[in-house]
Formats: sequence, C-alpha cells, structure tokens
Amino acid sequence: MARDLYYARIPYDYARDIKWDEVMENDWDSARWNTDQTEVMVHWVGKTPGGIKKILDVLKQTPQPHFIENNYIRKTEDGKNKWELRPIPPKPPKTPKKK
Amino acid sequence: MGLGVGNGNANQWTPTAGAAVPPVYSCPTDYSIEFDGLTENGTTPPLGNLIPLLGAAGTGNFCISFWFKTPDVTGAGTNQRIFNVTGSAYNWTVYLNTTGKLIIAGTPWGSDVCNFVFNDNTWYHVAYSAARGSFGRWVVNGAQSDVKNISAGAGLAFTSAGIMQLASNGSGAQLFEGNLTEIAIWNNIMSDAKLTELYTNTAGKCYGSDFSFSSDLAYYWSCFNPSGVFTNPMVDSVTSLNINLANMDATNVSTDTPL
Repeated sequence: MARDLYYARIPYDYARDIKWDEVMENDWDSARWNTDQTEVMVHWVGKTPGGIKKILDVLKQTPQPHFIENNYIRKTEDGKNKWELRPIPPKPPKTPKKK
Repeated sequence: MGLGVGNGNANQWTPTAGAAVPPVYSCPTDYSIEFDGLTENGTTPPLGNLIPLLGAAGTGNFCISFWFKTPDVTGAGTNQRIFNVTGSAYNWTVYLNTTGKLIIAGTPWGSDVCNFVFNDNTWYHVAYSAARGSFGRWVVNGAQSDVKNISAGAGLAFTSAGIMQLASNGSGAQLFEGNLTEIAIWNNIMSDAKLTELYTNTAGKCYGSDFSFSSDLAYYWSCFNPSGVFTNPMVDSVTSLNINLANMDATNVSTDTPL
C-alpha cells in the first residue's frame, strides 16, 4: 500500500461528531460499520484531521496505519468476528448530544 | 515517409523509402485505481439499476479483461471481489478465492475457475472470454490458462438490471485490496493474439479506437488513464455506465501500473 493511510474506529456515540469532509468516507451511510453497528471506520491520508484527533483524544486512542488495521480486520479472529459481516448503517441519533 | 538523408546542403535532402515513422498513440497506461481492502469500493448507480450486459442481447459472446495486482492473493482467508452483480437474472461475480484462484461464478453455466498461480505484488493481465455456445477461456498475460465447456448455458440470457459492485460484494464486504486498471468488457470472444496486444500495449493504443477489434468494446473504465485526474464517478467511456466510488478520493489514483 503506497499511500500513507491511517484508520480510526469511532464508537456510535461519537460518530455524530465526525466531520465527513475531513476523512475519505463520503458520509455516515457509505462508511463501514462493524457487525453490531457500534463502531464506524474512518480513514485518511497523512496527518490526523483536527476533528478526528479531538475524538481520539477523548477516547484515548491513536490512529492505526493501514498495515495494523488490515491485520486486525482481516487476520485476527476478533477483527473478523466484529467486522467481516457488513451490516447496513445504523440510523444516526435524532437528538442532539447533551453537553 | 522517413526523415531522409541530407546531401550536405541544408536546403536539400532525399527522402528515404520504407523508413516509416511509428504512430503516436494517446492512451498510455500511466495510472491505476488503488483499493485499501477495508472500506473503499464502487457501485454502478443504484438509481439507474443498471449493470454491464454481458454479450449482445445477453446471449452473445463476450470477454471481460482487466489488469490487477494485490499484496495478498489469498485475501488473508477472505474472498476478494473484483466485480459483483446483485439483483439480476444471473448475479455473476469475478473474485479471488481464499486460495488465490480467480473465479467467475453465477453465470448460466455455473462457475469457471482460473487455475493460474498468481503471486502477491505482481501485475497480471487477465481475461475471461466466453463463446456462449461452446467454451469459456481464462487467459492470463495473453496465454490460455484454462478452458471449460459452457455450452449448457447457451441461450440463457444475462440482463442489464441490477447493481454491480467494484472491489466488494453486495453488502460492501469481501473487499479487494490492490490495484486495477484498464477494465474492459467486449461484445465478442477474444483470441490469445488480441489479448496479447492488450497485454503488451506499451505504445499506448486506445482501447476504443486503435485496435483492430476496438469496435467490439462494450464497456471501458480506463481507471483515470490517460489524464490521472480523479473523477467520481469513475467514467465508462463507451456507454457511460459510470461507477460511484465510496470512501475514495484523489489519493486512490495510483502511478503503480503494469505497462
């Protein structure tokens, strides 16, 4: 993979905060959700976008490069169980998030 | 007409017979489309509900040809879909299975396996050429790999209804990781000689105009060649059966090419 790709798995409750124009995913519906629709995958090239960094900082997570993410999703039992079947996206939350 | 031979006088020269100037073609394969195998894929427009019609009227001869390269031909134990049709009379698919075999399945004659041994990180030009009343052939890098009697499916018609996914299955899983370029569907069978012309097309001949068999071209996704400019949808220059790309941008245009 020649591109400098990075990935993050964002929980549903934080997905509303994703700025879709910062990542390569078109929108909520085109993004890949895990099997139980609790996490969404986003990816980008190079530096972590500001909005994604804020979410990851709250979650105390770091972006994963393609090699690591690909290994997890396609080669580990945990990754396969959680991500191999691709459901339709869940409905976005209707109510605004409480501050 | 050649450039000729000078006689020492700058204003006089004698043409040289037979020294033909090679033609210049305008369609070099300088780019491919790269998929991450995790979330990037494409579909024909759902609202249009159209897929490529294989063969004239769905019963004619056809050939699917393309270049591919993948870092893991086995998909780490998961099928990798290259083309996948849903919602049609015959939901055909072309994919790499978990042992790295290329397969066309869901056709009126069932499935057909290419037993060529593909390697990781290597470009291959592959084609499936179907003579509907007789044989289906897998051809790799211009040479026949496998042949199967498909006469049982003669007369059974593909349709243009449905949705075609590129680099995933119908639910967006089983994603293909790697590169594709020069994706073409022809309304005729293709000989090894013709496919070798595609395989060795370093001159940059245009699929739609520069080959003796260009008139058989039915669908063609150049994969951003020759400009290298990312477009979404990715354009089919023959019938405008364009492919919507999901979760992709200009970084998916790769300079990794086979030619």
